[in-house]
Amino acid sequence: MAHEPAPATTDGRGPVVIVDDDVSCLAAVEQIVRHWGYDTVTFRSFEDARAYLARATPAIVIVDVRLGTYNGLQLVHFSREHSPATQWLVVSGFDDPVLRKEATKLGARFLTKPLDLTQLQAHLEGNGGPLPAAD
Amino acid sequence: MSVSPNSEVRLLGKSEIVRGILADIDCAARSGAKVLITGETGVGKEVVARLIHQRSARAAGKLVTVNCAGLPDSLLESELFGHVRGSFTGAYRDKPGLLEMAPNGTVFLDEVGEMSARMQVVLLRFLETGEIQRIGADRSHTRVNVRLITATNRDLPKEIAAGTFREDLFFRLNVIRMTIPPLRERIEDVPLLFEHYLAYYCEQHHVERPEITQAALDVLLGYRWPGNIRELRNVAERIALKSIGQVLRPADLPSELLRPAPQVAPGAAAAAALAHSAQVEEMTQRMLRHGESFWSAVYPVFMARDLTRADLRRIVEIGLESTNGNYRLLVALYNMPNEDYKRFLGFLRKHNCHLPFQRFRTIPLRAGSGTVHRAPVAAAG
Repeated sequence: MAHEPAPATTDGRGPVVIVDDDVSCLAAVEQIVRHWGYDTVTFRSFEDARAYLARATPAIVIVDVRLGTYNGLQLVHFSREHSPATQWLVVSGFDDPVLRKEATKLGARFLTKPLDLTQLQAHLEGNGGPLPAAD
Repeated sequence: MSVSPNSEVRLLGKSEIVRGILADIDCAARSGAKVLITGETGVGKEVVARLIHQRSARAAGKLVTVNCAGLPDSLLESELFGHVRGSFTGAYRDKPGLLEMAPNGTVFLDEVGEMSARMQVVLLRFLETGEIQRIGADRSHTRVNVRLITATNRDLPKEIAAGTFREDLFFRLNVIRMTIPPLRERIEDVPLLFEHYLAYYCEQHHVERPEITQAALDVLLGYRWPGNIRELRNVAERIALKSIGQVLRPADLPSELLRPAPQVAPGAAAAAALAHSAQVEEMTQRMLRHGESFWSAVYPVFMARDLTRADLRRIVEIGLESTNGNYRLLVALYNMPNEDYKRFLGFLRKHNCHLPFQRFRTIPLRAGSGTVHRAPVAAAG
């Protein structure tokens, strides 16, 4: 398995991976991210995203917590070992403290909808501030 | 419900599917996140849970298994969270809950889809705080450090749509999900599994091992195995006891493997052929062929009063006919763990459905005796 090297920062402009099973949300986020000048790769299902992430090591992944009947955090679990440099932005429509904690433990950022676009852009540019500490 | 030592378990098979499951188990073991295991009844969800525990950093801690089906709310809550003395009739002393008994270990909640709405709220709260409060205790919250693994054969998204399972609880339990495919999707593993269980049961019962013909193997490979590995294991045990040291031909296999359509056993006294007999047949089929547990197939229906005592007695009768009047074997036949023996008998006695076993203690039937004998579980035992 040939892993594509992960660019250290997004200045390398690797594509931003966006995963959401809600088509309209996916399209909206994709449009904004493209507008900011990034390439995007999008997935609508957990399985497709998992297959892609098994091979690729993207710099940034934006993933919805609710992916059909799967939890988006599972993608972080499966991919973080072979792709440790990836920055994970986990998006949820509901600020569930239990899931927020799970995300933090995994080293992912937990963002709630509606997305704060300024904050999202800061994360993409690598200026999102330090990761929240677990516990 | 059991607190078990870390006995060695394995996931048998050489198929691609098994390799994938093992890789997922390793990944789940390395993370401490909650795991939800889904899959049909009998596919080995508990084995997967056990493997995750054994390969995780918590392997030195205990693995506590709780089956959520068939326990009334109050009892399930007291089992999980414990109670203090005097909190209800019969609570003579303080009792720690199972969640307290696995510090730095794993708690496996099986059949979590059977939980009542009230228990779902209790569990939701526990996930949020990580604290447990024994029933009847006014303060003294204890924080526990356990990892939760849950399993269900229910289609939880469907239950959520129907309003019987909480969506927020689903997403909290479902951080990592593992779906275990049914045996028919990895049919190439059947010969290996069958040989393994046949050898195992022959050794356990100290009998000579039958020799399998290719034709018999073909029947095993052509069957759909609705009860999955549990059904295969039961078939292996029946054959180990029935065909001692013989050459195993297709005709020696249980009849359901040879017939495509489910066959209703005529076996019974005429008294049974009453209003609900179809329901009784359906339930026994689910337990005998599909490996469903009595606690999920019969108990909830009976408690909801959709099944009469006569029907329950009939189900017990069918079991006793198959086991030569042996209640211990009946417990296994209806897919309950051995530890449930007392609970099961207590349940039957409470509802006046405990049948005397003596009249079932017949000599194994001779040909032409007029009764159709259901495949005996331990005719030779």
